[in-house]
Amino acid sequence: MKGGIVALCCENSGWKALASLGDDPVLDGVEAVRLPCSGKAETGMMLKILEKGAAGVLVLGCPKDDCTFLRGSARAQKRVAVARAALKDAGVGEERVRMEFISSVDTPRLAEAIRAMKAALEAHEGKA
Amino acid sequence: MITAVRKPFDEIRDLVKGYDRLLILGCGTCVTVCMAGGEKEVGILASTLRLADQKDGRSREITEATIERQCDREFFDAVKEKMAAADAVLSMACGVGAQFCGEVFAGKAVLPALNTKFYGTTEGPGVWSARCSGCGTCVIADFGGICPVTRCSKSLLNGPCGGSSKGKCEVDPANIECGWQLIHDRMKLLGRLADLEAVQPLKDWSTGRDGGPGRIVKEDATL
Amino acid sequence: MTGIFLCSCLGEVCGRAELEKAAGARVFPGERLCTPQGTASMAVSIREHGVDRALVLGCAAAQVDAVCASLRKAACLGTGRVRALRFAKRGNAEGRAASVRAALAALDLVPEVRTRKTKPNREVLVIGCGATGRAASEALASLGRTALMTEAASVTDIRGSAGRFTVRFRNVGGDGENARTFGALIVAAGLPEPDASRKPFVPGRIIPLADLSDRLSGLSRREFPASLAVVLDMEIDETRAGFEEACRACLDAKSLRPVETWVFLHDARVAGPGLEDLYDRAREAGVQFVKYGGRIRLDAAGSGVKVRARDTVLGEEVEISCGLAAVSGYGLATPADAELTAMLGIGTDALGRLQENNIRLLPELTGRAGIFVAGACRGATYGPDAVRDARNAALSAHELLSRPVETELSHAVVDGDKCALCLTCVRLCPFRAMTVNAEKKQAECVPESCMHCGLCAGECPNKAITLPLWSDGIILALSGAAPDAASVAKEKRP
Repeated sequence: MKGGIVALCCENSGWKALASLGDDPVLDGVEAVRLPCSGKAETGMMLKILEKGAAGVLVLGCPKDDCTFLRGSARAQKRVAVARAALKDAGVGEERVRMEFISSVDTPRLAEAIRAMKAALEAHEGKA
Repeated sequence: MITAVRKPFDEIRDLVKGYDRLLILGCGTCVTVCMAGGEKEVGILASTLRLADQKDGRSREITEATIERQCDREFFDAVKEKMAAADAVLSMACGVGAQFCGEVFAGKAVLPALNTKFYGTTEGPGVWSARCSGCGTCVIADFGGICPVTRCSKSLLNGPCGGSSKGKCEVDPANIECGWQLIHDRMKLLGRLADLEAVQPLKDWSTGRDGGPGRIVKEDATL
Repeated sequence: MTGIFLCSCLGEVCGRAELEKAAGARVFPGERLCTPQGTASMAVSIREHGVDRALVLGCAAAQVDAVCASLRKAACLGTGRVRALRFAKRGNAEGRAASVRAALAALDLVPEVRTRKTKPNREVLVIGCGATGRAASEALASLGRTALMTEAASVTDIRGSAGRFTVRFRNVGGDGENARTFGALIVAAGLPEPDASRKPFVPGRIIPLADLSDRLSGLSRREFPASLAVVLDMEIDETRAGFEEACRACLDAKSLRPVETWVFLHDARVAGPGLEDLYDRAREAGVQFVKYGGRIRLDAAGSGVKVRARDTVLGEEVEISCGLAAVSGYGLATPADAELTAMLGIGTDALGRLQENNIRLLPELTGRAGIFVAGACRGATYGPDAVRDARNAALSAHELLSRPVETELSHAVVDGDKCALCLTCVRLCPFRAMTVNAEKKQAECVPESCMHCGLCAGECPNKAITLPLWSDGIILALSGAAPDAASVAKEKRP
């Protein structure tokens, strides 16, 4: 998988979960970028990050009724949908952007989500 | 305000395929408010095009800029150099701005990225609906402040048709309210129901688009 | 000047020379930087060399957030001006160098952030004069705080933010208005009474349960029904409030005249002081409880009411005819008063009640700092629950107003030139921190209400909003997607 995965993480959930994964090799090739809330992640930013060579962008937010800022992860979900539609338009694969709702203690699910994304990206690369 | 939606990506890609130096120009007024052509949308479209180009192995220069609005000449000054450096401009303004851009920069290819829809209002975040058709002779006072030309699918002036059911228009009952139901309810609220019995004469459509390209001259404002 | 603090634990992993080459910033080697001693030694270097931004590099064992927080405090560095990176033993030099460059680029873009202190207004407004409102006022009084109680109907406008809400009231006589400032608001406005003239009610036949006792006491022997049915859980599952009301109403009815009584419910709710006892008394008095599942149907047919439901104990449809039926308002999905909701500017739950479905808001918080909700208006209809709510709200209001509000001025900033006043941010902000500045003709953020979440910045259709500590430049730098070093440096270093 060329380029890495940039994980845009909400500091209340994704960031903490990633930190808990510590030295786990699943984090190889994953660059974590901290955000105050997943609701700060913008469509334009996700696309720019891909333009600059990242293989994928993973947006990590709190489960919707647990968002510290009430509506952040719900907004992020909509913006990820727009980004995916744009990627489909461009023909470069909508699997390159993904959103996961993960609480700060849900490290097994986070690890699984990262693995799944890497697999999807590798499969996509293989097809391309 | 004027509302518009972005053209499908494939159509845009086709429009710009012959150009190697493209300026995507946004507008900070109406199309920003209806979220079709402000700086954010310019960024998204630019990134999408660049990603498509990367995939096709095409190296093309795509620059971005957004000005206050594209329907007044002076705002283009800020982007004169960028316009000169491009061989085509993809305008994300409404049909007015997209055309005017071409007038201000005669000889430059200017392409529209949006489909302009209607004069409308923001019902709520992300939802806009039409209120005015620019007919040139406003008669909403006769209808309690509601425009039958715009809000009735058939622009009927003397009452509803048989397709009005439970307050909805048969054209699209899920989304379109029967304009005449709205007029009736409003006139009832205003205590003016009897006024609807007056016959609206044939409308002179020539005061609007049907009279040809519009033009307004306000003499006291001309320099 | 930016300083890079390199912990010896990274020894083989990341050499000083490698860093100085990659970073072009001053490197300070150190030992055990994640300990208090390490922090102290870093703070000394920071002061001696006039370092204003710091990047700490350590091994994967380091607690990044804790290290940043303690170093910031020890060295008095501004918010966002300390970053820390952890490097695993695996990984390559190129990757590490890229991460360091990204972190330095982001550090470069962090502006100076000031704080401001405001003194909150000391008074609390309690909206709602019922039992919950009174409980809140009493709790506030016992905390030594002044409270003003008012009916929701008298309030015409609510503006401002925590510490300084301006509320307008209709004058008692009905003419004219009055305005007053409060530090906090407690909303205990209850829920609107069900409309007895609309479904499911049929006047005279199917009435609100709250009206039952009054109605029965006004009836003569001839008019008195031979049987009556009480219906709970009609649209939503009841709280204990409805159950209590039903038992009492049936006992009251039986005390007037012999009458066959039925109570239809999903579940008997006895988990409250005295409820178990009340239930027993009702059963002893001959009240018949029918546990039903799903929907219940009431038909005002002929001279009485037919009640049809699926008895979950018998497992079959049952139908009874009675002279009068009473439906508990607690079982109806009544939303909070819409006008009040709009004035308060807070989110509601699926039933339209005054608290969004978010566990972080329980029990008394809303999306707006300084506005607290208690009791039925947020769905806590059972008496003891509502009183507890009221006390929680009073405590929170008291806490809020007990000290000056210290706000870090790193709130969202709107570029007036780009702002089209589309109102997206104003409508979107879950905390009502965005307002319209009519003079400047732009949206503006109230620093004391801003939660620094960045939803507004992410949504603005013209990219007119920036969150200074999380600007686009910083995020792109951190994701390694910054245009290039030269243009990042060109972006003014604040």
